[in-house]
Amino acid sequence: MKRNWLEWGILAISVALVVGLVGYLLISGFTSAGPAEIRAEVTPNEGGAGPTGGWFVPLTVRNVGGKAAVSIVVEGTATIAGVEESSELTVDLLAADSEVELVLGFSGQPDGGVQVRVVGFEMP
Amino acid sequence: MARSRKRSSAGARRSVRQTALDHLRAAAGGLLVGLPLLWTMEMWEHAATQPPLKLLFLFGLAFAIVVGFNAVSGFRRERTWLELLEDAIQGMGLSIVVAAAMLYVLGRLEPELGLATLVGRVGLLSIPVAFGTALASTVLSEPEEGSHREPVGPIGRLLVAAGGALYLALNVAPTDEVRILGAEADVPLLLLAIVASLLISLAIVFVIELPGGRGGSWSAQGRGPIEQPVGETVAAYATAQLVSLLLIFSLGLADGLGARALAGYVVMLGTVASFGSAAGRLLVSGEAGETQEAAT
Repeated sequence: MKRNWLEWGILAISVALVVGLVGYLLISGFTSAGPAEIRAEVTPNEGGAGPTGGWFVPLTVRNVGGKAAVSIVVEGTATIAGVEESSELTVDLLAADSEVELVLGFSGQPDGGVQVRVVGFEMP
Repeated sequence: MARSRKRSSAGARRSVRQTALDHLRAAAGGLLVGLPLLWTMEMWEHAATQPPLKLLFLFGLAFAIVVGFNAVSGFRRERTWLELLEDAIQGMGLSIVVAAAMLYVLGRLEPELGLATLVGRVGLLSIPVAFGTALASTVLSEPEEGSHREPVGPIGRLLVAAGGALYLALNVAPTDEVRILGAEADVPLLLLAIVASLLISLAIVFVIELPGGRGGSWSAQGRGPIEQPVGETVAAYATAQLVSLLLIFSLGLADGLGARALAGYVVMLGTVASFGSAAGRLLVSGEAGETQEAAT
C-alpha cells in the first residue's frame, strides 16, 4: 500500500503530536507532584480612579505550585482617609503554573500601600 | 483513521486530492461528534484539575478503542496491524489538531493558562473528536472496491460497545448532574435504573428492528454465552458499567467517595453508558446474525 507525500506528511506530524502529548503527560505526571501554591501581588502605583468613583488596584494571582486550586479567596486591605478597608475577590479556578489578572476595588485612593493575602482555597 | 476505500489495487498510490478529502471528511466527523464536549466548561476545567497520568490513561483508553473500532467495524480490507496502528495514530494526530484549532477559535487556549493546562485540555478534548474521525472513516465513507463486510465476533462487539459507552458517558460524566443523581438515588431507584438500562439495551439491539440491529428471530442468533441476546445484553451492560467506573475514577469524581455513593454514580452514569453501548453495537452488528443463520 503506497502512501503519497501528503499521507506521509500527515503521518509524520501525527506521530510527532501523539508522541509529544503522551511524552509531556508522562513527564509531568512523574515530576510535578507539589501542591498548589498561590501568590498574590498588587502593583499599587498602577492603580487608578474607577469609572464610577472609587479606586482600582491591579492584582495578579499566580499558582506556582504543581496542582490546580479552586475557589481561591484573595483579600486586599488598605487605609483610605485614615480608615482601614478591605476588598475580597474569588478566583474560580487556577491551574498549575498559571496566573490571572484581577482588579481590587476600594472606595478611594489608598493612603499608603495595599496589603494582599490569600485567605484560602479548595484543593480539587 | 482508515484510509480511502476507493483504492482499486493494493499497489496503487492514492491521489493527493483523495487523501485531502479523506482527512477533511474525518475532521468534519470529528467536529460533529466532538463539538458538544468542546463546548463543555467542565471538560476545560477537568483538564486543569486532574493529574496528567489520569488524562494519559483516558487518552490511552480512547486510542485502544479507536484501534479496535477501526479493526472490527465498517467495510474491511486487508490491513496489517502496523497499518492499523498507523491509521489510528493518524486519526489521533488529526483529532489533536482539530481539537486545538476549535479550542483556539473558542478562546480557550490563552497562553497564560500555562503549558500543562493547554496540553491537558487539547489531549482530553481530542478524545471525543477521535471517536468522530474513526466513525467518519469507517462508517460514513464509501466502501472500497472489492471489500466486504465481515461479521464481527462477540468480543469485537463488546469492544465497540465500550467505545459507544465511553463516547456517550463522556458527554455527561464531567457535569454536576452525575454527582446529584448518584448521591440522591436510593437503592430501589438504582435497581430500577439497572433494569431499565438492560431492557432499553436489549430492545435497541434485539427487539425493535433498527437498521444494524438484530431484531426478529432470536433463534437466528449465535449460541455462545455472550452471543445470544440476554447474554450479550448483560455482557454489554457490564462493559458499560466498567467504562462508567473508569470514567468516574479518571475524572476524579470518586475522590473521597464511599462505596455506596460510588455505586450510585456508576449505576446512574451507566444508564447513559449502556445506551451508548447499544447504539455502538448497531454500527457493527448488522449482518452477524444473517451470517450465523447461513452457517447453521
